[in-house]
Parts: sequence; C-alpha cells; structure tokens
Amino acid sequence: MAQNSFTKIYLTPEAETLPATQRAFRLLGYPAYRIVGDPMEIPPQDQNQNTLFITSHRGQTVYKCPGSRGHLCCNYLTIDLYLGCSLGCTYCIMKSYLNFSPLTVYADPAPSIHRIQALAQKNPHRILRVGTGETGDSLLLDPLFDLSRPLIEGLADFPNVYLELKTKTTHVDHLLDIPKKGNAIIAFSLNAKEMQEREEGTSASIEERVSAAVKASEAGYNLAFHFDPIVRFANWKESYSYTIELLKKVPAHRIRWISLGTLRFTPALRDRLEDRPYLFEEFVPCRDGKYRYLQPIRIQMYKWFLKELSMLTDTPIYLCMESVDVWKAVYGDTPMKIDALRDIFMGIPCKTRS
Amino acid sequence: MVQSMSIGDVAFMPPLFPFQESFCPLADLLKRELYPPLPLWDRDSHEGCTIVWGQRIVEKLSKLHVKEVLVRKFGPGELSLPEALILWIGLEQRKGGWSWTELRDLYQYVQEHRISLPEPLLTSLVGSEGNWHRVEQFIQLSEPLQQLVSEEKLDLKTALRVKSIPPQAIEQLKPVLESLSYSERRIFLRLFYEVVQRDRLESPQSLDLATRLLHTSKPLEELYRIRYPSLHRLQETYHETVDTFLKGTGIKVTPPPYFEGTQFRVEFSFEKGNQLQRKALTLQKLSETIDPVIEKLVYGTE
Repeated sequence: MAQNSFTKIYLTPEAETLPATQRAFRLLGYPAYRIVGDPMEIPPQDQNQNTLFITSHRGQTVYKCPGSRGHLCCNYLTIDLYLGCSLGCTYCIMKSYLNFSPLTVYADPAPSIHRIQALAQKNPHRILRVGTGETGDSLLLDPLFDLSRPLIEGLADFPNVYLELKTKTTHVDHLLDIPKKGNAIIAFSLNAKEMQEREEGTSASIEERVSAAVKASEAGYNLAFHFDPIVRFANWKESYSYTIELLKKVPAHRIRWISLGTLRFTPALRDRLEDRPYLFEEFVPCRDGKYRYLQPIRIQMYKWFLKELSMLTDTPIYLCMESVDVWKAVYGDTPMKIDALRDIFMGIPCKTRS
Repeated sequence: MVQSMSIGDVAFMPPLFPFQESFCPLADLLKRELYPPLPLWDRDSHEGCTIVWGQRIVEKLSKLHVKEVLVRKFGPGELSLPEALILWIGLEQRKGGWSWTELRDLYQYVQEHRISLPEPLLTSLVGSEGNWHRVEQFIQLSEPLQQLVSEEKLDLKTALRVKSIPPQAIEQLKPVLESLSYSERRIFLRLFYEVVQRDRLESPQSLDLATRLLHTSKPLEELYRIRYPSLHRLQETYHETVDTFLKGTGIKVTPPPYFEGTQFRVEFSFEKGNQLQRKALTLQKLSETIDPVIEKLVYGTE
C-alpha cells in the first residue's frame, strides 16, 4: 500500500517544527521540501494527490457532519487531520472536490483535542462520536505522522467521547502500544471482496482489514465496521455474505456499531467518476439531490444486511444518510425512537462545515 | 514591399494552407484596391510562390474582370511557417466564429508542423488558451459525433461521455436523433451509451439495438424502458392497477417521484355533493385494494 510516494512536499512555516512533521521527515529519510505561506502558492502542476502539504489548523477544527437534506444524519463530529486520500477508490466522493488538491496533513492536533474536550465537558450526559475519517482515511498516513496517538491519549479520560479512526488500511500497529485508549474505536470500511479488488484501489484486502481489526481488538480497542458504499451487482448477497462471515473472527463484544449505506452520488460526482460497471445500475434522484438505488431495492438490501449481521452481533446497526421512509420500512421506526440507536443519533450543538 | 501583379499569374499559385478562407471584402472595396495586399511566399526559390492568404480575393477579382492584384512578396527566409499561419489567421479577421471542423483542421496542422501559436491568437480562435484542449477532445470523437457537435446538435461534454458508442450505431440512429429536441438528443445518447456499457454490447449488438430503436414509434421511451427496467416495472405496476382503476373517474393519484418516499397524492374536483360522494366511493374501493400495490411500489415487498 503506497503511503509515501509523494513527488513534492510543501509545508507552511509553523508546521516545520511540529513533532508530527519531524517524525514524518525522519521516517521519509529527510526529503526535500519547500515552505509556502499558503496552499495557493503551490504551483498548479503540483496541485494533485501526489503532493504532500503539511500545515496546522487555522480557525475551526471540529465540525458536525453536514448531513443530507431530507435524510437522517447521526450527528457525527468530524476532525480534519488528513485531507484527501491516495487509495484511489473509484467511487470516492472526494473526487468531486479534492482531485486537484495536494494530500493535506493538519499536523497539529492540539486545537481539535481541546475543542472536543470542551464539548465533552459541556455535554457530560451526551455521547460524542468523533471521527477523523470524513475527509481522508484516518490511518493511511498515520504511521508517518502519528497524529491519532495524541487524539486517543487526549480524549481517553472522557467517558462520553468515542473517537473513531476509520480506515481501509491495516495501519494499526503504531497504535497498539498506547496504554490509555479510552473509548477509541478503530473502524474499518468493509465491502464485498469483488468490490474491494476491483474498485478500492490500493486499499487493504477485506481479509487483511479483518485481521487488523482482530489485532486492534486484542490490544484493547473497540471496533466499528462500515458497509459503505454497499453496491448491488450480480451475486452481491453471496459476496457480502463472505465479508460478513469473516467478521466471525472478530470478538463481537468489541464491536461498538456497524453502519450501512448504499452507494450514492451527486450528479457532479457522477460526472467525475470513471465509468464503472456498477454505475450502470438503476439510480434515481432523491430529496437531497443525490442518486441512489430505487427505494424498494434499498429497503430490501438493508433488510438483508440487518438480518445477516444481527445473527452475528447485537451491536447497534444504523443506516447512514437514509430517509425517514426507509428507516421506518427497515426498522419500523426512526433512530431516535429506537433505544439502541438513540444515543448514537443524539447530536450536540456544533457548527457544520460551510 | 507592396506591388501589383497580374491576376492570371497569382491565380495559378497554389495556396500555402489547406484551409478554407471565409473573409473577402465587398466588390466595391476590391475595385478601389481597399483590401490587404495578398502575402505571397517564395519558400525555397525553387517551387515558386504560394499564396499565404487571399485566394477568395483572387477569385472575386477575376470575376470582376480586374487585371491586377495587390500583393506583398516574401522571399526565402523572410517568413517562417508559424508566422505565415499567424498571418493567415489574422487576415481572416474573424472574431470567434471558427467552426469545430475548421479548428480541428487547424489543430491537426499545428500539431503536424509543430507550430506553437501565441496565447493572444489562441484566444482569438477559441476564447482562451485553456479551450484549445477542447479541440483535441473534439478530434477524439468519431466522425458522426464530430458532425453532431459541429452542427450544434450536441454539446461536446455529452459527446465525450458517449464517445465509445460505435460510430455505425450512431449513423443508424441518425433519423431518430434528428427527430429529437436538443435536450432529448443528449438524454437519448447518454441512455444508449449506458445500455451499451451496462450490457457490454459489441459493435454488432449496438447496431442491433439501434435498429430496434429505429423501428419503434417512441424510441426515447423504449430506450428509457431498456435502461431502467426496474423503475419501468414499478411504473407499469402503478399504471396497471391505480391508473386503470381510476380511469374515467376524474381522480388522479400521484405516487412519490421515482417511488422515493411513501406519500401518495390524490387530486380531484367536484361541483356537488353527489359528485363528491361518487369520488369518495371510488376512493373507498381503491383504499381496500391499494395496500399490496403500495407495498410493492415503495417497500419492495411482494
């Protein structure tokens, strides 16, 4: 899995002396780099995912997931540590806005840690689910920068904070020795084996991800799994059954939650996606303007997943960005009225990304 | 130096460039010698002069029985091929107005002769330097798609998206494409392309599909049905049950768009109580039978 195939490295002046930058440079063999005051100073020919841009946060560091109009959101909080991803999944939503940007590392996690700590103190009776995997893979570059470590350590004393590190890699080894893990969760995006092999670029295989999950659980981490995007193709049930079967290797009591989300995309993203066979299924526009499988098909798919996964674990299983109608059809009710899911979906006041 | 030359001599000179000229001053101006002197170029002093630009002027002056034409001769080394091309483009005096096929020919010539056009000239040709690559994209299209784009019957973006449709299939579909509006044509080609991709149709199978569509009365609807079979089945189920049930009753029931959602909408109007009673009775009957249909349409349960 490529993690250091950068052709150019740029950093802002204050990032040069940050411990994360120093560590990455040491591991990369002290590569050549250029200081820029602003990402706009990076020449156009280097504005791509082969370029690494290291900086620190300016302004807002924690956001609430923006959700999707007409669809239920789990009110997740997001921290930008890594912006962009070079794994190359063919369906990646970031292609609609990050293709012409360098891979960006916000190498100073301190402001985010302080912000989450403050939110946790202010909302002691609420569960805060926080993740670093919205704008990039949480662990792809983490062995280099080790930015998840201070987050895990800094939030370990807050029993109401669940920090989730979401990945399609196996990069967990550098996190195993952290003594105080708190409620940190190592989460893995999962898919059908065929999908991973054909559509998820240089990501780890499904088997490798599950093995990494086992390793993380043995070190004391909680786990989560995200079947997202679930893709419909010939023999999809058999193929996803294989992945679900693999999860039997994982200690069920360690799984904190599982999410399900069928493939969805905006028209703008569709224009940027390379034509792949799965994109020629039937998609229709939904209330948020995104294209999804026909509602009856989605409902049947979710019901199937729910049935299969429920045989494996009694952990909360929820839908990502789905309509009230689909929720009611699959679960009989909306998440706020389902005991096992209420805490997950209860939000706290926080700004969304503009 | 500008000089006069016999029309007969100039008329026999070959054009330097293979492009069609469009600009030619009015006859009155030509008679009064109010036109730019025609650049002639003797490239290597062996093959004689070529006309860099002005063939149309020569033709028109001949028709006007004018005996002489104003020229400016360039000897070997006095002009380069890029300079000559810049001269040609400049003398055309077009502000935009270059067709896709003209730009294609220019692009290919420039590539073949490794000529680098200056930015202001590219701007005058295609609006901005960045647009020059659109000409390259146009060249990638098959002949029938190039034709549709150059005739402004299709946008370049759609044409690029569907460029892998076998050209024979597009040729076959021409009568259908001609019968559609601009936006319908875009949708039609996009759907056709998606079916070709989804079903991995080879060229002969694509041609079969085109032929089949050619012989249907509503090709766009038929193609939509082929592209979206599940959605079409839902729509058919809906029409067969609800619409048929309500036919002639003046009651309209609208399902959620694309069967996304669960809210059905009922519309009717009435003037008197007995009319309302009849509608209510019809709706009562519908309510007794509609649940299995709704289950199927929006929840996917049989």
